[in-house]
Amino acid sequence: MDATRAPHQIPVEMPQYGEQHHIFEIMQVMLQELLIHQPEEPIQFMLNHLRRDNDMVPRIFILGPPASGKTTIAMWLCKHLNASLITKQNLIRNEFSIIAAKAATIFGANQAIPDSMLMELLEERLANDECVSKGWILEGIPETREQALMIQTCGISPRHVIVLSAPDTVLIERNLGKRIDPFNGEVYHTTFDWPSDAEVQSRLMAPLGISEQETAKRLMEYHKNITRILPSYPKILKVISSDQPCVDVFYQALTYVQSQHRSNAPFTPKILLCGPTGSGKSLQAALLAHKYGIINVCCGHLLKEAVASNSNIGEFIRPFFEQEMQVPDQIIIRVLINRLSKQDCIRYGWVLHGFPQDLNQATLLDSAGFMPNRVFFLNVPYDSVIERLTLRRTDPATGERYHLMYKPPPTMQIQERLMQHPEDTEEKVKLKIDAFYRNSSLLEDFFNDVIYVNGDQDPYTVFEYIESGIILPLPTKVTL
Amino acid sequence: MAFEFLTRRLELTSLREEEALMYLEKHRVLDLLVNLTSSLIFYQPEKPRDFLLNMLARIKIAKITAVDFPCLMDDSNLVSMFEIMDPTNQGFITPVQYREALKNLGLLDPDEVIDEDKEVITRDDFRDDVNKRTLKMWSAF
Repeated sequence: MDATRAPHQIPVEMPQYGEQHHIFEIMQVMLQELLIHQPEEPIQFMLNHLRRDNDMVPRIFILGPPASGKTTIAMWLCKHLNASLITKQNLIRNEFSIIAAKAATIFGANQAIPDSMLMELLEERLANDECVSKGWILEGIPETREQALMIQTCGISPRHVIVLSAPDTVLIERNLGKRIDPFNGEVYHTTFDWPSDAEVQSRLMAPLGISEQETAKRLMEYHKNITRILPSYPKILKVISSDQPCVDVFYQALTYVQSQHRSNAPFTPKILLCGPTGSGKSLQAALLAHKYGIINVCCGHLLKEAVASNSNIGEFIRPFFEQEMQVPDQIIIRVLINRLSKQDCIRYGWVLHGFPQDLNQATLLDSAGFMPNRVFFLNVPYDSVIERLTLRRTDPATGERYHLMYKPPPTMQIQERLMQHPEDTEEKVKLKIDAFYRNSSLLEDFFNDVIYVNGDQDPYTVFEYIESGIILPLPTKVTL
Repeated sequence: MAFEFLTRRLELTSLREEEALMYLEKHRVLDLLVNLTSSLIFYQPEKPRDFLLNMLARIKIAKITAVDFPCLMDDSNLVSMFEIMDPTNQGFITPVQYREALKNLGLLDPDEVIDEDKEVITRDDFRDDVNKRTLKMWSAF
């Protein structure tokens, strides 16, 4: 027998460790950097890369037509994320660079700066310590496809690309009201964004080139170029409409920049669905299990199975069932640990619902070593739950289940003999909902990164929302 | 390169991609990364980055002094491995088993052929050969 060839059982701590410390992502970025730069001394290169530890810093492009609010959004994002802002203007105005001085003379003579010079300036700036360690936000560059390709050739690639968009008419009108503060370059607007400080108000100047014809000309130029730039960034692009209040645009941009793209990292889902009774947990769990092959673990069912199978632990549980008392936490956790430690759960992942219902049970789950890596709270308003549960009926003759509103019985004959489950009366449902909400806030605080889902929609919409929560990595929190 | 099967099924579409693959082979990057990742998930340090920095520094020094490469499998592991393959304690293993063992350790180049004539490979042969190959692999970094 050759045991070295048999299917190996990897101890479960290893993939858990990998997931927790994002080992896959660390190695992936390192390999990417090696392939892009192809250094002669890979070991030294890897040492330098690991010491820098800048995998997660912001690397953002912000593109958009004139008057879309790029500068404002870029500045706000910079302040929020503590990254460096890079625009064509401040590349040229750099005092410490010889290339910048040359570019400034060309710019002063009102001529266009050659792309190659712009690239040199950009490369120089991005090699700065500040940009390397804190990240950068590039605004308004690339302007054309040629520039986009040159940036790519240099090995500079963003993680997020935001494109602002708005109808042309809105932009032309908006540009007429543009005013700039000469001190710090901040952009204000006569109607939408007027500064409250009277001193700032008196300083504001109208910039050149904001007449309607000028703006229209620049818009045409922009539209010609942008359609050829966008295909360079297929998976990292997001278009945000800037025809809405500034703060809304900023909020959307910030959420996007903090989100992470889908990764190839190996991931065993350990999902926890929480919510009051009637919120749809069992249904969603069943859909997840069916689609992804993960194991559906319903706490209530587990206990009933244990009793029905006359196992040792079932004997402990049976008296509680018979007297309609709550089964004690210690017994439940034993049954649960038993199930979750089985090979199929470890291999395929699990989705748990019906447990924990309060903080004690959650702590027990944690100390047993079964912390979930995705936690969803399904929010459903009280009236919806009542509507969903109290209108359930069963046909005693066929066993078919109906719902008076969502799945009514086809004939009057059936309707007359329908019966309601005693657990589905309004009083019982209300008790259960109250019990849940009494404990829910402590439970929410216990878990990190809880995802809230609006459960008051049709099941497939809720399912898609839960899916996106599982498939995408959790968003990075901004650490300032 | 022993872990070449990882890149075997890639469809290379451009000259740059082929250059990149050649770079990986020349510097045996995949072997190095697999080694690092294996050590990482085996030792499960609290601070993975510091651990990696440590390992890379050790490799760098070991390259110069040619001793003391960080190895996951030491002598006692090799002895245990030999004993798994030779449960009846005959004292030797067949070439087929030997080949499979080398593949699992990542020490076998895919186009290398093991001498099928040698019928027996004793424990000492096994250990010496594995050590020799390990040294050869590390010196390529």
